[in-house]
Parts: sequence; structure tokens; C-alpha cells
Amino acid sequence: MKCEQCAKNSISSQPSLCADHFDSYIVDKVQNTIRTFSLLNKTDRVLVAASGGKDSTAVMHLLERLGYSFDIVAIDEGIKGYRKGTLEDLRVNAKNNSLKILSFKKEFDISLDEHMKKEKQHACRVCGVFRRKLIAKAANGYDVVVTGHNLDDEAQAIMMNVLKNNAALMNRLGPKTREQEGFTVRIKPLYFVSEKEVLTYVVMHKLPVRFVECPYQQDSFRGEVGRWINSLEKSSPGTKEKIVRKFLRTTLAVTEEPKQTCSRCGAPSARSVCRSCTLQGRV
Amino acid sequence: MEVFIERSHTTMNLEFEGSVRELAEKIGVNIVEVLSVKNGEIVPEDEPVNNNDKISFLSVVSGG
Ligand SMILES: [Zn+2]
Repeated sequence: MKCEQCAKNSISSQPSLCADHFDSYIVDKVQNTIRTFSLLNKTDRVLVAASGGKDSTAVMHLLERLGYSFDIVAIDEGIKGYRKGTLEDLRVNAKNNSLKILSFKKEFDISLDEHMKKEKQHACRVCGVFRRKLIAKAANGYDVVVTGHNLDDEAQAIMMNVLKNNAALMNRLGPKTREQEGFTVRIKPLYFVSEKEVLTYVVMHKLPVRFVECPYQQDSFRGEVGRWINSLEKSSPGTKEKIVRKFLRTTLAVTEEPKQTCSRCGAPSARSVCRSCTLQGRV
Repeated sequence: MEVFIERSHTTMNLEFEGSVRELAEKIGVNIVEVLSVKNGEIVPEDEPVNNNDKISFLSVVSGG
């Protein structure tokens, strides 16, 4: 199969492009997303929330190529056999950017593994609540927080929201979000880049990223929704992008932001006591 | 042909001629969820493969 734009062999399907043209296709896509949704200015103080996984690694590589400078924050949830390796990769990928690692154990006095032994709660929910809290804390003094969320993540979140109708989840959708007044704006430069495209980019550029799966991932509802969307994508290619584009045109236009702060820790929250304080038993 | 599936950490040997997409279908892998590598090179879904090839299906789906 030949590249749509030159005589070389292609490395991707839909669109069919060679390595060089695939590379410019991704760079253009990210640049257009940044421009269309006014995600970033060159003068912004930027913090990347990274994990060492393929998404945050790709987003950092792309931002650097586009001429943006940034600091990095990573969260160590305390998941045995999972996070250590990705943080090692992150240290390599971070190069000269300032990197700060915050851990659940140090900040909340309990690792995710310990929490799971004690509470048997849904791991992804607990992890998400704590992680967002730490990123919000680290974001103090920055204009914008960049995440590695890609097209697949967004399509999954949209479908999960259709099934659950959760207002908090809703506030996290879109290429540029501010969960509450007082929170730093969060942006998703990989908004239209599919997970497969992200991996292609990472492998093509030989960026050090290893394949690991979170041990708690299997039982997640998100995983199930993801597999379902991917089977739709296989039978009708373009489904993911359609889900996201239709969502942008319709639903996103009618959401409102709740305004409140947690009575315990003062962080912006949709409830009188935020999820993080509730989970820590500070109620 | 030797086929490596990253997600399940399995390697299998089988006789096959066709496209990468057909190979994935045959072994029960959703082509959307993998990046196909043939003899060390990233290849598109309609790439022809035969018994002399070494194929890796890298997992696109991963946490974090
Ligand atoms: Zn080309």
C-alpha cells in the first residue's frame, strides 16, 4: 500500500501515509486542535500531567516540537509492579524539564494498594479522585495543565456519561475544561489523535515507553466501554471521531459549571465536602 | 509464521497468507486495538503477510 501523498510505502491506514507524512499529519492535527480551541499561548506557564505512558510521552514530544516549554508533574499512586517502570521512562523522557513526583502515600498517607486492601472500593474511582486533587494542587501558579487524553479516552468518557449521566464527569469533557471556578484550565492537545495513532507516533520516534497495564484496569467499566467502542470502530471506521465531533456540536454547548468549595480543604468541589476528603474519612 | 501478541504476552506459530487485518481476525485480535509490526517495520492493515514473516501485534490499549 502506497502513501496517499508520495510514492513511499505507508505505515498507517485511514489515512494511508508513509512515516514522514504520518508524522506531519499528527503534528498538523495537534497544531490545529491547539489553534481551533485556543488551548495554548506561547507565554502560558504550562504544566504537563504525565505518567510515563505513551500518551503523555507523545504530548510532551509534540509540545516541544511546536516550541512550547513546560514543567511536568507525575503522580505515584502506589501500585506495586506498575508505576515504578513508567516513572523510570518518564525520567528519561522529561530531559531538562522540571519534574515533580507526588505520591498518594506521602500526600494522603495511604497508597492505592493499601486503600484497596482496606476498602475494596472501585480502584479507578478512588484513584481518579486522589489524582485530580494532587494535580490541582501542583497546578497552582500555572496557567494551564496539559493532559495526554486522546480521542479514545474522550469517546469512552462521552459514552460512559451517556450511560451514567454524571455531572462531574460531564465537566471533564471537551478539549479545554475547567471543572470549577478556581481550578486551572486543563487541555487535551491529543483530542483528535486516536490511541492507535499515538502508539504509531511513539514507536516511530522510538520514544522509551513500555507496555504495562494497571492491575486494577481489568475490572473497570471504562475498559468494557472501550472494547465495545473498538468493535464498532472496526465495523464502521470513524465511529470514535463521530462520537466526539457530534458531542462537541451538541451537548457541550449546553453545560454549566457548578460553583462551590469543599468545607474541609477549601478546594473547588461540586459538593460541600469534596470526594477526596470524603474518601480520606475527614467527614 | 511467528506471531507475537503483546497484550497477552503470547507467541504462536502458524501457517498463514493474507493481509495483516485478516491475520488479526483469524487469531481473534481486534485490529483497531493493535499496531502491526512486520519484520521490525510498522505496516498498515492491508499489508500482505506470508509464512516467512515475523509479525508483532503491539497493544494500543494501555493504562495511564
Ligand atoms: Zn508519503
